[in-house]
Amino acid sequence: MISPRFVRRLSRLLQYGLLSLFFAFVAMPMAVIVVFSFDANRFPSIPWGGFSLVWHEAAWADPMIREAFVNSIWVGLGTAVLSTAIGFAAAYIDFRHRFFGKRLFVFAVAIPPAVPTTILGMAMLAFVSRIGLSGRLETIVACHVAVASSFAMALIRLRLGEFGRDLEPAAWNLGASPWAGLRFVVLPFCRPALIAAFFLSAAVSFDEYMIAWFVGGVHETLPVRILNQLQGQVNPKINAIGAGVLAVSLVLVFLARRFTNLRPEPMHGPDLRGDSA
Amino acid sequence: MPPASPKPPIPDAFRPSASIYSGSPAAMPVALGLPVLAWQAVFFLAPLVFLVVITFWQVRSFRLEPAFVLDNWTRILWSTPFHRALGHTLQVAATTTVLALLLALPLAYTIAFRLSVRVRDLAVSLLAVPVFSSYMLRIYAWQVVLGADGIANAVLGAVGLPKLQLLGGAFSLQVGLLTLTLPVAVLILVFAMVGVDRTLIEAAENLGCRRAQVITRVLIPSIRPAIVLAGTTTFLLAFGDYVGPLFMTGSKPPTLSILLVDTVKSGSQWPRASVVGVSMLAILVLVFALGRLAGSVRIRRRAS
Amino acid sequence: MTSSFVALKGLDKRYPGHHAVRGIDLDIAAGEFVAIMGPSGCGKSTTLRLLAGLEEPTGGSIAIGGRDQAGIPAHLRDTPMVWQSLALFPFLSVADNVAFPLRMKRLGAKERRRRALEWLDRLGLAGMADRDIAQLSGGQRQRVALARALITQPSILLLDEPLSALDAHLRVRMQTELSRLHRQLGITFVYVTHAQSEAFALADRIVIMSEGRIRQVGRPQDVYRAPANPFVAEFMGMNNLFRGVCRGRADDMATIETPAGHYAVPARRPLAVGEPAAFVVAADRITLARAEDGPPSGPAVRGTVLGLEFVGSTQTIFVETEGGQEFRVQKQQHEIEALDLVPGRAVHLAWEPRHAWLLPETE
Repeated sequence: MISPRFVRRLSRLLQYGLLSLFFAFVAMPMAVIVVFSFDANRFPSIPWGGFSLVWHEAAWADPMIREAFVNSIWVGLGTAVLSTAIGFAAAYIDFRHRFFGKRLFVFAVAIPPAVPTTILGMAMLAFVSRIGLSGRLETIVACHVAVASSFAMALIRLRLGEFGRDLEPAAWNLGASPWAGLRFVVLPFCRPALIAAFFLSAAVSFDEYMIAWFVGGVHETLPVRILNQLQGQVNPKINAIGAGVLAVSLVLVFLARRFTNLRPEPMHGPDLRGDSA
Repeated sequence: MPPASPKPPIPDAFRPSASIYSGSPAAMPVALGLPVLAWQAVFFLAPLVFLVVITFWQVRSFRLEPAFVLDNWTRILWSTPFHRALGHTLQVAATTTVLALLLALPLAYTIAFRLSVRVRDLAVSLLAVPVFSSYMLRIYAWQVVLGADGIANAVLGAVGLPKLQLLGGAFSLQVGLLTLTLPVAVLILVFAMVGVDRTLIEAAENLGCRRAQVITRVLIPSIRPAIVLAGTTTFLLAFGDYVGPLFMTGSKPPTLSILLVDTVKSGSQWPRASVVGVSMLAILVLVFALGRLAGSVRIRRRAS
Repeated sequence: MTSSFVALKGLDKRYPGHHAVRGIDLDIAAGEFVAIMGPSGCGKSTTLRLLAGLEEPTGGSIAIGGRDQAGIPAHLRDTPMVWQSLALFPFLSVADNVAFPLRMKRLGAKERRRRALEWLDRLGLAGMADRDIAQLSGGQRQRVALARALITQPSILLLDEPLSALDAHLRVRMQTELSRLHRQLGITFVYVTHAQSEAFALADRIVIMSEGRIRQVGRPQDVYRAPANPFVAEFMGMNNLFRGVCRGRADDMATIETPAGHYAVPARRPLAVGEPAAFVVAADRITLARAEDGPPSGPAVRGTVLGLEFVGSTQTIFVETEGGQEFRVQKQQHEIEALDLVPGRAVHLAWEPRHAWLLPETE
């Protein structure tokens, strides 16, 4: 006879075990890249060949990688600024106004991330080359903005949900024109979400390779450079570039997270945690 | 337990009418909305519409020319490589969806109900990181881990086990696709599970439900929309992924994404690649419609 | 005081599917304290928002200080408002909240600060200037909202249920404060509330609204003692309403037949025999007697005690009449001690004929 207590213990053990495996599964690829970027060996393998910065130095010395890095920074910055602006405008209109076709309007901003980037990249290239915009860094920014605005809008709209309905009319009542109300009341209130949207859009852009690969032409962003390197010969610099890209991504995502208070919250009642398994 | 008091709806009287704006009443929404609309129209909607348009165009001596021919459609839709890729992609995406849900449900349950609030928030933060950071690099890392002379085989060798062929098959492909999809699926389900009305669960427990019954009869039904969302999102990501199949199976057999890129690369067959792309979008729309249907049918049954 | 400072003429506000304000006329004198009362949804808040320009009227006109307000957007009107939610800006300090209207007028930072501190001082918030709004108590926030609304020295202040979020003790203190401010500033206050006690304590005149219409305008004591119609009489709460038909007239008295009997009522308006009529007797004007002591002389009804409610030294006795109506009687504690009023006891309710108030309007 198996005691219920034993079953409960076993169930707990399995749950925590599975969770640990899951986090190991999530963390492992990132750890592998970082660890092997400091490996003196030419090819990542066990045993480790000893600590070395040689691949980091080699990566940094590669002019193509440097150029791609600089491109990525510009594209990321441009995307962050524009996506935040567009995301804010879209979120504010969704919050404040009601008009015919609003759902479609919101949909046009929200849906792009749901389209596979392979298709989107190809469609964007086909269209922008038709209107003579292909092969430019600005075009990568423009196309990234079309996708990243969705995340920016989501974050800012979430924040506006906490915005008191009376605050804006109160500002008008106290002498603020609608534009002044937007500038002095709505924007300051949304500040944390704007910052989060900025970093998240930058992260989305910094990470994106399909669209950048399609529309960028000869201009490579860092992920595109990596993709091209991965398809060529095994290159020990990859880990070093990867470690750098990961570091930037992690910082951006953590910063974005820092300025959002999006967390799972119970709707009603106290947050009781079950005590039987 | 006081009854849940929903926030009172804002009566119309408290919505400012558009006319409070001086000058032209619609000046502000237009000034704010038009750039948004224009941007999304030029860089998102127009490309997609154009994608549909060029499926009817022709390529003559490597140049794309406007036309109205159905040739591209018939050639692709009746071609064996397309059928193979379609079957393979559907099967792979469906497998990922099932695996992701089977794994994500217990994982989300543990995070939502077994961790303290602080640890739970930390776990959610940590899961948000992979969602937005370099999937391609992580796929590459799996290549390093699972390769013939990779870390996994080195570890196996060290304990005296024979080497395994880990890379290049369904196993490595699913590892790659789960790297992409599992964190998203878990996040969606954690948010849904934490949001479940605790009084429901308590009530079920008070009525003498065992834990397993509480999960199957109360928890799962009340997060059904989130399960549908997690499932459709997973399917979408796995269905459209390019990098995973490319590096985890070496494009053998090709998925639709790989077929699409190859069609573009080889001989500039844009119209045919567009046919592949439009077909993929059609399938995704269908899957989402089915997902919505699955969600709403349930709700209606529960409401009656 | 004769010319009106605020003039509403046929003011009308229609929303799709909802007629919020139905052509109201109202004149408010400069420096007057007017309270607008009514049940929720009666259009009182909408009227205030129309005054502030936060809503556009669908008919009629608003003039403030002789100037037609049509087409003037909210931010160009000088009609600051204190909101029920207070609507303080959570991302600004106390001083910056108060100085917000000056900032919108593009005043320099130094001058803004100086005047904000002056108003904070005036409202007893000295030393709070650099606090966060979140650090203040409910009463302090109320004062910040007042200071913010008054800093531009407007000639009118709009208040939308400003005290409803406070507890009873604070509410009374803020009433005193508002009264003092009104006296000192000498400007017009338009105060929307559903609380009778606030309106009676503060206002020079009370406007009672229902379903988008004004039902009565008058001094508090007039509205209380001389309600114009059954709605106002019942809204004021402590009135017992009789409806019936005029059956005869003699001298200044009219005889009105009601389900509870025939009553003589001072006829303060022309009333024809056969015409429907309604009158009220205020709860504090009724005398109580035990049924076994025999019917009193003069008008009376018989009923059964339903229950009692204590408010301080006053008791409200709820009585069900034989006609099934619920009546209220208000008495001092000591006045009724001898009567041994327990639920179920039969009583007579009596009043002097001169205390019956014939309502000018029957509906």
